Amino acid sequence: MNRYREKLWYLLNSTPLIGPVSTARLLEYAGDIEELTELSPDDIRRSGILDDRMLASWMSTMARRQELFDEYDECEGRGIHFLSMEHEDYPQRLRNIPQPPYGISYIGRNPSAYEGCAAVIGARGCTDYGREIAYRIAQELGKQGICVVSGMAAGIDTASHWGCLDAGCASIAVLGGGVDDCYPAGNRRLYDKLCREGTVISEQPMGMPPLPNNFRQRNRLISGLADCVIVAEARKKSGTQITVTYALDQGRDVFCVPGRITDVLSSGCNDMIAQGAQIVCSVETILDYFGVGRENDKAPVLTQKEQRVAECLDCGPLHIDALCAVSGMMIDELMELLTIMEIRKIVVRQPGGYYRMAARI
Amino acid sequence: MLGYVLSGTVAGIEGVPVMVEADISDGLPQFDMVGFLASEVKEARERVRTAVKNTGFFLEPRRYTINLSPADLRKEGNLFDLPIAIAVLIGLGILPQNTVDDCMIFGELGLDGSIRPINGALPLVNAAAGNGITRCIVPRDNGLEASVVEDIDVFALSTLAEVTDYLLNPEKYTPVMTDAAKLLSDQQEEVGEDFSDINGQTAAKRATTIAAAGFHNILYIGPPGSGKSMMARRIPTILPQLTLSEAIELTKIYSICGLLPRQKALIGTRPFRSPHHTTSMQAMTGGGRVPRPGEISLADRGVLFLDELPEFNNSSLEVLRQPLEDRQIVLARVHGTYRYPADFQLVAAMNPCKCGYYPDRSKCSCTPADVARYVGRISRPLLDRIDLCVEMPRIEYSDLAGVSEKNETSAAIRQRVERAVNIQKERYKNEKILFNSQLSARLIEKYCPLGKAEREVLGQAFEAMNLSARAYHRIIKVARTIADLDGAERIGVKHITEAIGYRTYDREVWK
Repeated sequence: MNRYREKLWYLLNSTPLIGPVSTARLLEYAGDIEELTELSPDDIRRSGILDDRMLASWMSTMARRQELFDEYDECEGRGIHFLSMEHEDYPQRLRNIPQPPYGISYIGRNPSAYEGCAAVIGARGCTDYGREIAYRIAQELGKQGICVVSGMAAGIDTASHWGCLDAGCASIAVLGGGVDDCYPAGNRRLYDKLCREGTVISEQPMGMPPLPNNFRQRNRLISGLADCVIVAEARKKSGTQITVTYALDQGRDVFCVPGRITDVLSSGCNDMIAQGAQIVCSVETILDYFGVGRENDKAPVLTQKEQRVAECLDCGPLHIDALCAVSGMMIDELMELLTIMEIRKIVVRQPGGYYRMAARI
Repeated sequence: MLGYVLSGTVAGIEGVPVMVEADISDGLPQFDMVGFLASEVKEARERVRTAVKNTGFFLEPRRYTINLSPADLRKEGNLFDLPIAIAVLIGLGILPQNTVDDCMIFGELGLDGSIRPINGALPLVNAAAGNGITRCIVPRDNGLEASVVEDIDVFALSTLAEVTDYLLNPEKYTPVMTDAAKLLSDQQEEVGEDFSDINGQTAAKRATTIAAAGFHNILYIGPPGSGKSMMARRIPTILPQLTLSEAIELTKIYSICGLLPRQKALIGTRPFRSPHHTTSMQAMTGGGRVPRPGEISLADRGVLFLDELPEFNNSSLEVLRQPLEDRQIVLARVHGTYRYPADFQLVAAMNPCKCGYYPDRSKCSCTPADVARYVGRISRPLLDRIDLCVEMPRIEYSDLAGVSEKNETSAAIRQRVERAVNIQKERYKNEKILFNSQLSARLIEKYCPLGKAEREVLGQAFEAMNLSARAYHRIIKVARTIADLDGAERIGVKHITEAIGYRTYDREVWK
């Protein structure tokens, strides 16, 4: 790599308001990054590519060039790597998508290091079901060494990252702001773990806050870095849909986890399946896609009483009162049983005092 | 000449004897009152002079000096009018001194000589009896209340004239007679709310029974209308009946607040106080320049119900921590320290999230972060003092239709609770505590030994459910109460596993 040119790319990347589209047009106009940085403001204005605000932004970057060059040099020391599209280590998967990012920054391991990658995405305000499915799928993938890519958002994304990390495999988080900004703040622990054991990557310059406008763009990178996209739970017309659209443009396979038709949070997934997305009814579907298998883990043996509870919970989660009425057991006996079943991970307790069978997928 | 009359004042919830001295001497006509008096006491001057005159006695224009002793105890209240009037009459020679021997007198005087009722009659008479006084004169309307005290004769009179008549001819009058124990049991038979009013809510009823048996603090979490406050209101109906001494303690508190209904001599049922979440800190603990008992004392021996817990001001909640520990509240003022009992059971209720319907996805759009933030508003140290937490589901229409005969009544539940309470009383007879909820870490070691199987299941649960260290002791205390309800001497695995079920807000689920 040419260090001087990398620094120029860094300048361009650090300019707010100038994104991939404007960059493409500027490069076409100037011919090359070095020539672009030598153009005078009037030249650029004459091209008509940038409006006044964008031009002002570019001018302010040029004024700060030495400061930014120094920042680039400091990056390595801080564990942050910047790669322009010219760099030999630039992730191959991203090169092939329409409108690839001209520059990316990442902390941790280079995304190219991962052989198999699957994006697991879904709603922020997800249900317990979605969260658990995402976690379990990510966990099974992680066990097979398949890296999980997601957006580190609350809900499904977070569950996916954790599932993969808990299985001992690295995970990639693509952020909407700069790589140095942990958003949402509640995911601090996850962020730190990803920086140590996985990858945190972004197209945005450092210090950029997670502006809502940038999330749409970010989503194309989530699908871009993966071989396939798995949607755990989504409403109709959601941010997740945007990612799926990008995935289709990029030629990635899309898998959806179905849900109850009465559940508004599964409506997006069910819809996409109806429109042709592949249905995921067990983890095997995804593992087969990657050409790996897993050993059958034995189902736990239930006692007679536990069996009775399992039957009651067959149709869905029940509040403990309802479970008491349906099973005919006394409340104290039921509570003892449920605690034991929870310890054995046969049932899961949901907020509100509801219990359901643990997902076995 | 000098006249002496014994009276009293209320400090905290106890009566303290006060000696009223009246001296009548030569000199320019004056009427002075001394003895560290509050302004309402000083106003007695006008009332006494007018009442005495209107009763038909002539107040000579002499130099009157009234002293209320001891001089370093602040005297408050409107009850000194009558004793001052009597002391003056003695000083004037109208009444002989020996007529007021061994007698405590108090009451407010109207300008016409009528005796008006006062607050705090019970503690005053109680203090008199405690000091060996054998009779007391009280306002008519305070008669019933005061008569509850044993070992003292209570004469309830309505005018100054009547009092002078009594003092001169005591044999014409009979004291107020009350059978306190019968009064108490009569009151307790009144049937108001009952547990059988509630349909369903099996888990919550069970948790409430456990809370009552061990006097544990409990938190109900549920959507609006799930019956949290209905359940809380019925807790006093399953707590053991008040004993006479508890009833007297409670009545004293209510008496000094002026909250004792005039027809009632004794508070027979455990109180249920439900302060609104805008209640100030002072109203909660008691206070004011002249301290009055607050909500926590009015809930003594009963339930303090905090509905909408996250809406309470943190400072109002913070002040609960010490009383929950000490079972009393100590208010320090310039004039002295007041100690009020505050032995209440804390019952709280809240919605699971701001909109109230989490996790019902069709009604609630709160994210887990929103929920955590909402729950996070409650002070952690306060949550730590709540031993039981139960989640109540939404009420379905079918649950509302009619009261089922199968529902257990409060009386039946109370029987079980009383059995468990007696076990605890026996177990802790050599300790200062009465209930499992009051066990300290050291006492838990002593009274709640766990076997190997029990320790193992506790360990597994901690791992699997990510419970905090704080939860450890609380689970054991609750398990001890469950075992007591079960009549079991040792805590078994089943008691522990049930107790673990009531630790909702400690789990990962809320984070």
